[in-house]
Amino acid sequence: MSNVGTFFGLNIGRSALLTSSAAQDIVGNNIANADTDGYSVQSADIVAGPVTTTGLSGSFNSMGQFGNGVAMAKINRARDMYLDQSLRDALSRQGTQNGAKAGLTEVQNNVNEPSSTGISSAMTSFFNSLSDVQNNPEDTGIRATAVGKAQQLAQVFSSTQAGLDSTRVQMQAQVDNDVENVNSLATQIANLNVEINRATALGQQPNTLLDQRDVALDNLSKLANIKTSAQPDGSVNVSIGGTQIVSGSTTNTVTLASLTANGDLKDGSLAGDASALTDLADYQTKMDDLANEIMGQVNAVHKTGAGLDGTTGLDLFTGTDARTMSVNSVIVADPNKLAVGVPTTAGGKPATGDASNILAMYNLKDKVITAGPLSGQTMQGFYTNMVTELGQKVSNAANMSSASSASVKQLTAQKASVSGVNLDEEMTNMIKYQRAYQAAAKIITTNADMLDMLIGMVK
Amino acid sequence: MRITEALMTENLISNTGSSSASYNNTLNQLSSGKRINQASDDPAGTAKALALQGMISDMDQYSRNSDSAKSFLQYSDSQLGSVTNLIQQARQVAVAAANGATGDSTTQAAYSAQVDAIINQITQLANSDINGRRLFSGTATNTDAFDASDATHAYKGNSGALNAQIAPGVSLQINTPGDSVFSGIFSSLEALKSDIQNGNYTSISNNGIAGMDSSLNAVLTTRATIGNKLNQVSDTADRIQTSQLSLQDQLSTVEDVDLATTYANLQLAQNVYQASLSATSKALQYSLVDYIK
Repeated sequence: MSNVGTFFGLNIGRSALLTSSAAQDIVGNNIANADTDGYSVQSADIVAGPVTTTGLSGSFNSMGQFGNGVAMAKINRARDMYLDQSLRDALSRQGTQNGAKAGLTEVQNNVNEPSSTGISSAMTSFFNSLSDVQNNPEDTGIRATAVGKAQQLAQVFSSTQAGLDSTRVQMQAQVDNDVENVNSLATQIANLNVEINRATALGQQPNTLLDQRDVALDNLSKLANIKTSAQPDGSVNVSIGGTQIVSGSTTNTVTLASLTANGDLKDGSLAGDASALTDLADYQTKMDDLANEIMGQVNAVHKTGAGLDGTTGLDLFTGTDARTMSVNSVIVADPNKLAVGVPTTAGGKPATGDASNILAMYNLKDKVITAGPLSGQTMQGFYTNMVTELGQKVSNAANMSSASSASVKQLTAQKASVSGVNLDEEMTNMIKYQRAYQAAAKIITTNADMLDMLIGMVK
Repeated sequence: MRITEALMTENLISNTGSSSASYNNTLNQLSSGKRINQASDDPAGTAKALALQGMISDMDQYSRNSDSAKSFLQYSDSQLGSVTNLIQQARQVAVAAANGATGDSTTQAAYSAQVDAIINQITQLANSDINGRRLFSGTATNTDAFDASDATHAYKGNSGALNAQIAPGVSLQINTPGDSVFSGIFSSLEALKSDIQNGNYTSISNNGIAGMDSSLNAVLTTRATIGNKLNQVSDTADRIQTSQLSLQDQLSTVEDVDLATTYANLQLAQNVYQASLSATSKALQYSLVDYIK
């Protein structure tokens, strides 16, 4: 019994009981959230309670201040701001590569090369069928086969382009969805800023809200290259490049155009998806260039020749791009109108065995184009380059995606080592707080025994 | 480093996933037999494969062209062979007619009929076709080279060339326009016929036999040219076939899986996958919880 108060000791015991039981609750919460996404391990910040200075004269004065038990100052949240930013940067880079890889792979699936059913082999078959006609221009069946090969070539162009069109629609939807997610995450972060701000003003430590905001920031970083800056009031401001998208409680709605116009968008799956979309548009333009070149070159030669019946001036291919490419229905209906020969007199019929015009068409196969988008290349060479370039892009994106995945994995591991829940550690803390609770209970029973003794003396 | 259970689980999942992906990839290569299934599998290899595939198709086409040229040339040669026989018969008639200077009108008529029959047969041979393609009409392939009813044997075809692309940049004329071979033959035969009919024996021995000899020579020269072309086609076809094989071989090197290496890789991938599965099954078995009473 000290002279600070008869029940002083009981109060100390009570504070110890409450504190260790609260710490035990934190351990329990950690264990419960061991597998919760974005949860940061929490720990009790336990401090000595306020002191009591004895007010009585006597020998106790010299003893000064008495400890007044224990208290929990706050609940700590394990977090490393530097790691958070590094991980977010890595997530953005991974997003870029994953987005580009997914989009370009989809494009490549449509292209389907090398194969025996792609544009390359359709081009070869078409030109070779012209050589077959040269071997036997009298044979309507062989002419019909050549016209059929021309139809196949037109068909593979239009169906590939149509496939790419629907891929483009999907990819555009993906980009739109990404933009929508950026804006909705920005709103979420701004709302959390408000709540965190309120709690902080009340002197509370809003750990769950902070975790939620960090998850939202992580998700946002997967979409775009974000930078965050913590504000004194507890809120964070978020920017993509030079565009601020969250400022305290307010957001700035962005579009793909607004982000790309300033060159703000550098990374993230939005950037990756958008770049794949650009690559797709580029590929489709080249498809049109190639289809137009084939149609233009073949038609120019075809027109100068004449069919068996003397019909001249016909186009073999009709259409204005890869999508609309098809074979002149007049020639499909009558393959003898295929301009295989050249009449010796204007307006006359070519000799049945004359294959000079079809040979000229066949020779286009190896012709180096001298003007336009294909300048300096053969048609087949241009196509091979298109396919190879696309393959190279997919392969680069795949390699860089696995490289960035590796760095994401490593940073995730580092972050987990700071913020994650380790069950063994929690078990150890559980034993520690259990023992502390048992000891605190002992303080109370001992004080009670002492009081019993005191009361017994009076009897 | 402080390791958490959640991270361990995540790592196990991602590692098992990547080893199963590599196992699956190796299996795909083996089952398709192709190392390059998509351009991104090997972009440079894809460019090579596409170029090689194009070259192989071209070679296929040249082989087909050679086959077609060969049958045209062979048929031309065999028809000219028959023409040779017929001219030899006509020569025998000429010799007999010159020797048998008897003035027997029955014999004369028989000889003249023989020559006439020979003229008709040669006309038929000159008009023969392969797949509707007249051999000796130039590019007027749907027109008979000579009209059987035309006693002047005017050439109805043209001098156009039928060409075959038998190799890159090699275009071979496979036809012989009929006027160059047959016109001389017909006029010699007609001269012979009229000499026989007119009993002009001196002219038969002086000009008729010589006319047959020069006709034979003309046919033989043409056949020699055709023979040379046939040789050229065969030689070229052989070369094309050789380069086709070598191109196939190159394509296979670029495109196909190396079975031995891929089997070894499969075994390796399988082992890694098994190990990662077994590690996963053993993971997280113990924790402090097991020891707290």
